[in-house]
Amino acid sequence: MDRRCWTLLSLLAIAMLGAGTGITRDACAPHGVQVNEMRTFQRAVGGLGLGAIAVPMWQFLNYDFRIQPVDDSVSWPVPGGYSYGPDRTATVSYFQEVAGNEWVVVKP
Amino acid sequence: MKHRNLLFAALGDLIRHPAGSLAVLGCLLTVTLMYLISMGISEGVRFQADMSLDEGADIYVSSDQCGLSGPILIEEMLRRVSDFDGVRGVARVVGRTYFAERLVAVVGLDSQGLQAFRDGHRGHVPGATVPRDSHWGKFHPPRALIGVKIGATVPAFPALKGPATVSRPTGTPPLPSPVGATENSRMLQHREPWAEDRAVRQVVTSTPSPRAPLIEGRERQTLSSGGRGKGDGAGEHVPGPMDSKVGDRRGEVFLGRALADEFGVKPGMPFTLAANKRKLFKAAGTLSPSCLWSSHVLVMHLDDANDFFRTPGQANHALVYRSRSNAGDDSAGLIQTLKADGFRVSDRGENRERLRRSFSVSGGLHSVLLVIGVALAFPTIVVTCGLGMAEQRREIGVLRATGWRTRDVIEKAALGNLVISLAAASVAVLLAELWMRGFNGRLIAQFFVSEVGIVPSVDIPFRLLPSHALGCMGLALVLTETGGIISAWVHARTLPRQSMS
Repeated sequence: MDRRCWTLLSLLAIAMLGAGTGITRDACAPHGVQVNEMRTFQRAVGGLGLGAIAVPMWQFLNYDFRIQPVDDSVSWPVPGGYSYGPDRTATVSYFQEVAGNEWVVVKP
Repeated sequence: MKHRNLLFAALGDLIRHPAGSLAVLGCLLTVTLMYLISMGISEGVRFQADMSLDEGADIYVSSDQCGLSGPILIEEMLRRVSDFDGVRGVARVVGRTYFAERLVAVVGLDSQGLQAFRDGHRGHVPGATVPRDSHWGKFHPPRALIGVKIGATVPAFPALKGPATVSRPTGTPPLPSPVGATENSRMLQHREPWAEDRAVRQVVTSTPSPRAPLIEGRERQTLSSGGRGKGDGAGEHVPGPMDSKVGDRRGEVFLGRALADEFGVKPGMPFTLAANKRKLFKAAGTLSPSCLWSSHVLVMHLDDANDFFRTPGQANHALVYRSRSNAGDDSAGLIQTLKADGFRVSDRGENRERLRRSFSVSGGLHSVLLVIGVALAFPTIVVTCGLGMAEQRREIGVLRATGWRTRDVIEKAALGNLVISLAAASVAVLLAELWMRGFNGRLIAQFFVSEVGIVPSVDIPFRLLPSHALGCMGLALVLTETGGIISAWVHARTLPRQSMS
């Protein structure tokens, strides 16, 4: 039994070591050809893309809010006021329509 | 020694009940693997988005069109930006169209932007590297803003107004001679002032930079003596330093890898797009699939994009770059002026803050999903633990009869669950890495990143952090320890005679 326990512990240690290596590689500042390619692409196009979507299907908001900061695909009135654009759901990013400093209240 | 013996007793229990152990491990993997993949993709996208912000322009300017971002008039923006020191602006066109039946993003860039695909240079402000009083800190209109190719003679563009006749202010000091100016004196004598500036800037910014093989396809080409082709209205043309690069000519387009793969487009292949069939393009190369947003994109010359969208003289944005030295940076004044005149202006700080909040929202959604996952996992774990309930009760009865104390029984159960949680977290990390890196997230990536398809043709962003692994470990521990310790404690407090019966 002792031997099998040691074997199990060794397998566990190997799995933990592998996981630790993968996480360390990811967590440390990534470098290499891929990152250089990303950087080159972004420099060249002046920054394109921010959200988790490969192509702006319905609107640019979830693709890159710098291009279009509002959801221009909403057809009002929508029950609940929610956009039906598939770009707005089921991704790991969600950009709200933020007015930012559009409204400036000036006290008399 | 006692704790070691308890650990080995717990391991022995796991080995003696392989079905139960594997069932618990499987349940834990189901929950933690999805959690890790979603968080890893979220972090990967955030990493690329941060890079997009860092490497993009400092300020984005567009017009306000009934609440939406509207186009800007290039010449008007040219006049406005050129009044400020320490900033440099370029125009960019971004739109959408269909490539066959696929929706794609279209990006129109100036020659420098296209050249940056190969060099990685973009956004350098001359004022950052030369004395401010040399007037290079001023914005000199890049070729893209006025539609003049560097090196082109002015008579070749008789229709151009304004910028084509701009000259250096009287009394300004002469520009220093660039390296190689002697050899190129024939070309330089016909250029506009900013063409000289560009030539010098190339020398100034020719520091080593990461050269990434972003583009596949044709390599550097030298123009023939005939210069540009027919039909672009160029007329006589003197080759300039930027002209001999692939993709710098009208009609040449870089395609995203996904498009090239899907439709079998090879470099050099001509094509038209349904939205404007008069416009003939030629594939100059394909973009590397390393960046998520380079997969479904057509990158072309700004003039081509304007022709294609039929928006001559307009651009979606003016991309304004600040001086990196902050010396003589008058961008604050520029922002204030543009906002006062009703333009939409967003700087990098605002965009970064908005990005941070947006991913926090998605992080919150993940937390909600995680809670739902935990809620679903609890019954699973309880049922799984309950499968060996009678046997476990008898075992604990025996242990108690042989002198084990309650806390020893609980410690043994806790150690067993700790081992299984560590194994689940580690294997989940390994599986997530294998799935996302080895198989590029096939089948699962489309649930987290839209429009990449079942078999993604672009590298799916993925990055695991220690916090993700710790969260995964904590989740597994909570799930296992909650059921295991409580049941062990209940059985340990029962009389051994009753437990063994």
